[in-house]
Amino acid sequence: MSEERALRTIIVDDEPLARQVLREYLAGMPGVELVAECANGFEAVKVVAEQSPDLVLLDIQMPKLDGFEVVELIGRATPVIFVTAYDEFAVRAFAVHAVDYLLKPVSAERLGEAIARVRLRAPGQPALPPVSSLRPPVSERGPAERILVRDGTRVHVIDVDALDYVQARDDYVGFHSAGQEYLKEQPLAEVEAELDARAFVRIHRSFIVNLTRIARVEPLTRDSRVVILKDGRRLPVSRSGYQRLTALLDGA
Amino acid sequence: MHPLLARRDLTLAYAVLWLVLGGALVYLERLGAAVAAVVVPLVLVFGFICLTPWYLCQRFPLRSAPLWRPPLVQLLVALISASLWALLAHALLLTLASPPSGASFVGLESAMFGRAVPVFLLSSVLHYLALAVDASRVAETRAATAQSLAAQAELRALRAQLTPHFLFNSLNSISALTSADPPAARRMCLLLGDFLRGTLHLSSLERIPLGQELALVDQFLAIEQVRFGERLTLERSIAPEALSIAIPPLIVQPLAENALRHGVAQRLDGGTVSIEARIDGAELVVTIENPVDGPPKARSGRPAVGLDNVRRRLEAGYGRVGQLRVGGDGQRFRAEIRLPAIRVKETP
Repeated sequence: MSEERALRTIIVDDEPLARQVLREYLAGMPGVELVAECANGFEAVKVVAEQSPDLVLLDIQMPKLDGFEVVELIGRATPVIFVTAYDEFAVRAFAVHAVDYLLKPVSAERLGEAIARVRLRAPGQPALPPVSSLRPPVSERGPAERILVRDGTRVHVIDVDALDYVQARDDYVGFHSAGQEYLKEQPLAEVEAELDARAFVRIHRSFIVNLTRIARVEPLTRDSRVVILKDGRRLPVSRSGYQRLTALLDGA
Repeated sequence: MHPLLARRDLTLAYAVLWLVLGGALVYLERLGAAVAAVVVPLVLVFGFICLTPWYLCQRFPLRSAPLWRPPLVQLLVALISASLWALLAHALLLTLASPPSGASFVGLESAMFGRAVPVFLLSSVLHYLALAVDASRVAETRAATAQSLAAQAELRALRAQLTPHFLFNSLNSISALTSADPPAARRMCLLLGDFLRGTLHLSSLERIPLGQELALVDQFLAIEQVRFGERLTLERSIAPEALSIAIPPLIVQPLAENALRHGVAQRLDGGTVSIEARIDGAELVVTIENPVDGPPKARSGRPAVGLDNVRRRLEAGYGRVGQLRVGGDGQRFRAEIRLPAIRVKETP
């Protein structure tokens, strides 16, 4: 038996007693080191970025940022065990490659089994699933109400109503809101699928625009046009983009 | 439209009844065939005139003040319609059935007038009766609706309590307390038991004193307080004279649950839930306030089922005098129940 490196673990739960019971269980397990406790998702994202723990014990129902949103922001490199009172999220949890899914009230034995699974997995890095598997299909959850972007240890929450336009930048997309641009690693097509198709239209290979921000559309060349936003910004419109735009405006 | 005219079979039966009455008049007055041919259709016409009290009864209900108005109106309309009808009879008889030489129909017409007035008034009385029966049936249906809604509320309270939100989390808290603070774990078990027992069988009671409901709300909040810890603070302002007012069971508890689930639980720092009960004139006013983050935009998508049930139960139990008002300024959300302040009957 080689001596194992301690499994550096953080607990994320908004209820003090729920954190306490996990803390107590972890204290009784050899080779597990509790490095931090977080009372909400924002703290969790910050702590993961700063301490890169080996394991996150994560509640799902939390204020402002739920467990799934935390996973979306910290990425799949960090193993996650969900600990929740809800059994209906299990399918989604395994879709985001959670190591395990524990139901409250939690037993020490069950937590021990889950941690043993983390150790089994640790040597071989799990293959990263495509980002799209993170969320259930749009048809099941409706269009996004907000966009989450992680910037180092900080999390930006952008209300979709406050979103002016989205721009593709190589492997990233830039979310433009109130004069700021927030970069996130995600394909533009996926953003398009998430946004409300009645409020946002893809006017160009690289641009999605919020309909309410458009001041007017002007011709540029024989085949292309340009959208002028209310703040004066100009965005290119492709031929098929113009068709989608007029279809949406006629339908409205 | 008059309910008799809304159904063809009833209209027909009603017409036949009046043809029979017409026949009786012909027999009693010993009328000739020519006169009868005019009088019988006229009687039928009067039959339909006798349906007008339906509208009069609704326009002038018996309980309306002043007291003398409904009978006076009915009498006036009876006199006017009977006179017009007799005049019509007079005109038709003169043109269509020439009177026997020298004689006139005045005797016949005054007999018709004399019978028309009491018949019209009888119809008024019957209409008032029918409307009263109808009203009591509506009241019965309303009571039945109130009862079934109360049963639903009990089921919902139980189900909500027995879903992960409440029961599993509470058990998890107890599990944490058993090693850290055993007396607190026991207190929590007792609270949970009292609360669950309290919500059982409440729907069999039509009304409970506000005090009983608030005790239930206190138990619920005490359990949640253990879970939320410092994130939840409570404020109470309960007027002692409000405690004995009768209210439908489980009508305040859903508001408290709502204040936690959509208010305090959604905020990083939690907040204060305030409960106020007071008497305002002839009304009991119960208010629950909680902090919210921003306008209730996110919630517009899913309707607050609990609030809807409370509103419907108040409507069913009190009609227009019981109501739920909700509102807020983006910082605080406020739900206010108003209902008639009626004391629970003293039971020994």
